[in-house]
Formats: sequence, structure tokens, C-alpha cells
Amino acid sequence: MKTQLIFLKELKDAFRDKRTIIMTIVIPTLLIPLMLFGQFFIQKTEIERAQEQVVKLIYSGPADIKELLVVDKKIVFLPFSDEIGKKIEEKDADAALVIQDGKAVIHYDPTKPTSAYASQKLKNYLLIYSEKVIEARLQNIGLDPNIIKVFDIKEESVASPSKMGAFFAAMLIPIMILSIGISGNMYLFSDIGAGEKERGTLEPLLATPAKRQEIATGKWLAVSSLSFFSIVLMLVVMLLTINYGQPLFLMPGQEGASLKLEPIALIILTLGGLLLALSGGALQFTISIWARNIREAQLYLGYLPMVVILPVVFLNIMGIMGNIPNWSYYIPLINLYPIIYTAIMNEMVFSKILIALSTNTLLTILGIMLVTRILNREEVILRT
Amino acid sequence: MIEVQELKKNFNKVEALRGISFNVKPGIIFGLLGPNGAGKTTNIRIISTIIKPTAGKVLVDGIDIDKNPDRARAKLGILYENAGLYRRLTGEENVLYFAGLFGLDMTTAKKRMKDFFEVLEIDYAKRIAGQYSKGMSQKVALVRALIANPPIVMLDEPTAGLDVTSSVKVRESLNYLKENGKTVIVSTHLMSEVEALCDEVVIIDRGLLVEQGSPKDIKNRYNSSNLEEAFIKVVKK
Repeated sequence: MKTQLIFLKELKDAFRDKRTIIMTIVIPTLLIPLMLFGQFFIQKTEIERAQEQVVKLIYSGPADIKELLVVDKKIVFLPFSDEIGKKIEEKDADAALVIQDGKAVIHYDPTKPTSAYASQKLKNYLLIYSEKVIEARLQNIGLDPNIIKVFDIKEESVASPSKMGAFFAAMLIPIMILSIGISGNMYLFSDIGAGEKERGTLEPLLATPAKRQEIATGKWLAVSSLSFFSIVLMLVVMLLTINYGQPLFLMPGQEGASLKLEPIALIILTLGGLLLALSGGALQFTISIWARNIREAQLYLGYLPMVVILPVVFLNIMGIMGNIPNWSYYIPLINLYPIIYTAIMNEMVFSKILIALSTNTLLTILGIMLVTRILNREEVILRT
Repeated sequence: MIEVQELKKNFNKVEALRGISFNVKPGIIFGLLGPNGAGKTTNIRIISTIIKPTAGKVLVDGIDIDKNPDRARAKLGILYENAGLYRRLTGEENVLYFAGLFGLDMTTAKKRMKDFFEVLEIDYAKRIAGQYSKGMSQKVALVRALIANPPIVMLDEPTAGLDVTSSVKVRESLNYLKENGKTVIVSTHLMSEVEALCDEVVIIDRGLLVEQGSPKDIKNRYNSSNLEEAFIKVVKK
């Protein structure tokens, strides 16, 4: 009963802080669409910009190659200069093509996108030119130019749009869920632990008949439930964006993807989110109540995402390569990455889910026991 | 009402309390006096079960605080020097939250809160506590301490940092509590406050109980015209 009262008070208190609305509702709602739209917008803009780019070229070489290049209205020829490097460095030229004694050298600066694009464009023209020359030479000696073609290569994907959607989502979603779960409500955890000490509200609370365990549980559940809400919201927005938002960001001719999750995968995803909110919350609350003040709590809590996310980034790479190591299922919090990943990819292994469930439950119980013990330790609760 | 027996408290190598014993009779205003760092707040924290004594025993209304801390806390209403209100909650919400933690039903709590707000002239309790001055916060915190109608009320430096009007209001409320049958323990270093209010006092200095009795007895014992003068003689002894 008192746990429920503390839970409700903490929720009310949290929702009067604008940061809660931003971190719990606004960020999870906007993050996925923004990332998807942002990524595709940048890609589209870059392609359009490249198509429009005029290459300033310094050229020295055979006239027939120049004739081929002159046709391209997006190439402007500059007078030849001995200071090619300087011209490119100072952006007076994008690239230089020097052909002499059967050798074609493209001078460019790979650190400048316009120069790198110019180099690529020149390479393509040189390939076209080479093919034409070979074709002409073969014809001159009476041979069919197709003689040098062994076969035409064509790639055809057998992955369904649903599988592509899952692959795409699995690269992005687990890391984002873990980030939101482990750091989204960091300020609230620092507030309910170290913040209460700093503001002098913890002592009056501890002097009420409420048991330490009721206080610890009520506070932890309140903020963890907000984290869980954020995770669920993010999952819903992710499904909606991938399935219904694509026409808004796909370019003409680009293939789309869809994401259809089996009911069991949805249950496992929700369970993973719940475990993350509860065990991550217990860990954050323990750190916060141990800290002297909000500043110290935020400092310690600031390192937590690094500790969790860094191994997850490596797991993400291994996941994309289809090789998530078994040991990762035994480390609480981190093991939620493979659980979420395999749920999205519909490759769940229930024995491994059970391991993750057990280790995270253990972390949660230990965390709350530790907070309860800390609330009884005067040297911790009175230090500020 | 409160029995403190041979209370000792060490913080690492520092002896904050060195074997203090006193009894607080029911229905009186009891002063816990001493210079800064004497051990007054440590005493209050031990009685309120926030910290554990190194040795000794405390009975609150007959309840051993070591064996039944939750039951002992239910007998106590405490006002701290720092009011400790939740700044994003209104004054009313702060009070009702604590009423709930003391197990009070909301109908009774709301009626009692309204009465206290009238007595203490609190007309700002619907505003969030973050907007209150120190005096305003202290008055709401006093209502929070009294809402569950505890038999014992402890006040730690209740007038520290308050303006004259707020201090007078808090002092008046102590007499109001006494008239309503409460046992009041007030920890302070303001002698005029003690002389005007307290029926009995103990003086603590460097963790030891150095004097006890009524303010009048202590003044007579040290042949002093006021308690402040007597206090200085006691702590210099």
C-alpha cells in the first residue's frame, strides 16, 4: 500500500518536470523517424548534389580522351599548371588527369568530397574509354568484342521485404532501445536518490513508518515504469515508421522493406524492454542512492551507457555478421541486445532467453536489496 | 514518553554522544540545548531511527526503537531545520503524501489539514512548494509533521533562518501543541526561545549531558538573571 503511494507520488513528481515529457515521450517518438528520415534525406541530398556538381579539371593527355570528356557539360577544363597539388589544395581545381606513356594518373584530394567525386567520375570515363579502345582493337583484327565477356553479372536478392525490414531494424533498434533504457531517465534516477539527499527530503521520508523496502521499491518502480513506457513507445513508432512511413523517405526506384513481427517476437521484445527497464533501473537507482549529490550521481551514471553500449556496439557488428557469441547471453543488461536482436530477426532461442531472464532478474533483486540496505546505512544517507 | 538511556554514538573516531540519559514526560515542551556540534541533531536522528546508536537504549512511548523502528516512527512527527518539502508538489500534496505514509485515511487527513492551515494562516498551500519562502515552507512542514496526530513532536532548530513573524508563529504553534496534549521536543541554541517555551531542558555539550531541569531551576542554580547567562556558565564549567 505504501509502495503504491510512493510509486504514485514519484510519477506525479516526475511528470511535473518538463524533462520527463521530453525524455519519456518526445525523444522516443521522434528519434526513430528522425534517424530514418535524416539518413535518407542526407543520402538523397548527397546524390542530387553530386549529380549537379561541376568538376573543375586540369587535363593533359591525348585529344581523343579529351573529346570524350568535353561532351560532359559538368566538366570544366582549366589551363594546365605545374602546381597541380596546390591548385587542388586551394580548391581552384577539383582534380587533374595526366595521361602519358600509357599511364593515366588522377590527382585528387580524398579529404575533399568534391575532389573525391571528381576522381570517381574520371575513373568511370577512363573505364568507358578503355572498353571502347579494346572493342575497336578487337574489331580491327576481325574478332567479336563479346569474346572477352565471360558472362553478365546480375544480383538478385531472395530476401523478402519483410526480411530486409527485420535486418535493417535489427541493426538499429536494439542499440537504440538499450540507449533509451539505460540513459533515458538518468536524470530521474539521480533525482530520486542523490537528489532527495541533497534537497533534504530523504530524512523526513525515512522518518515515516514506511519501511525502507517500500520506499526503495516504490521509487524504483515509478521511474522504471517510465523507462518501460519509453521503450514500448519507441517500438510502436519503429513498427509504424518502417511499415507506413517509407513512401515519405524512399527515393524513386529504391526498394522498400517491411517489418512484420510474430506475436511471440513481440512478446519477447516487450519482455526484453521490461527487463531492461527494471534491471537497468535497479542499477541506476543503486548508483544514485550511493552518490553524495546529484552532480556525483550524474557523473557515475554518465559512465553507465558507455559500459553497456560499448560491448553492445561490438555485438551489433557480430550480429550483422550472423555470429552473436554465447557468452553475451550471460551478462545482464548486455544480454538484452541479443534477445532483442534475435526477436526482430525471428531467430529466438528460448534457452538463451531464459538465461537472460534469470540474470537480469538476479541483477534487479540484488539492486533493490542493495538500495534497501543503503537506506539503512547512515554514513551513506547522511553524506552530501 | 521518551526514555533515553546511556546513549552513545561514534562517527568513526569522533564521539558525538558520550552516554546521555534523560526522560521526557508526557505533555510538556522539552528543550534540547547546546552549542553547535554538541550532539542535539544526532540525538534527534537516533530517536527518529534515522541512525543507530553505538550503545544505549531509547524507548518512544514504551517502544524500543531498535526492536520496532517502524512502530516507533509512527509515534513521532518531526520538523527539520530544512523543511524538506518536495518542490514540485503543492503544500497540500506534500502534507497528504505524508498522511498516507502514516496510514491516515484521506478524508480525515484533508479535514485535519484544513484545520491546521487555518490555525497557521496558510493560504498558499495550493501553490507548488518550490515557490515558498523558508518561513512558508517551515509552516507547511509543521503541518506535515502533525498531520497523523502523533503523540510526540520533535522540532530541530525550528526557527533557524526564519524572519521574526514566522518565528513567532512557530513559537505560538508549540504552545498550541502543548495545549492539545502533545509532547514536544525542541532542539535549539536560542535561549530566549527556550526560556519562553520550555518546561524542562537538558543542556548537551561535546556529547555529554551537562545540566538538566526547568529553565527557572537552572537559572537559580547558576545565579543568573536569564537562561543565556546560565547556559554560558554551564558550558564553560
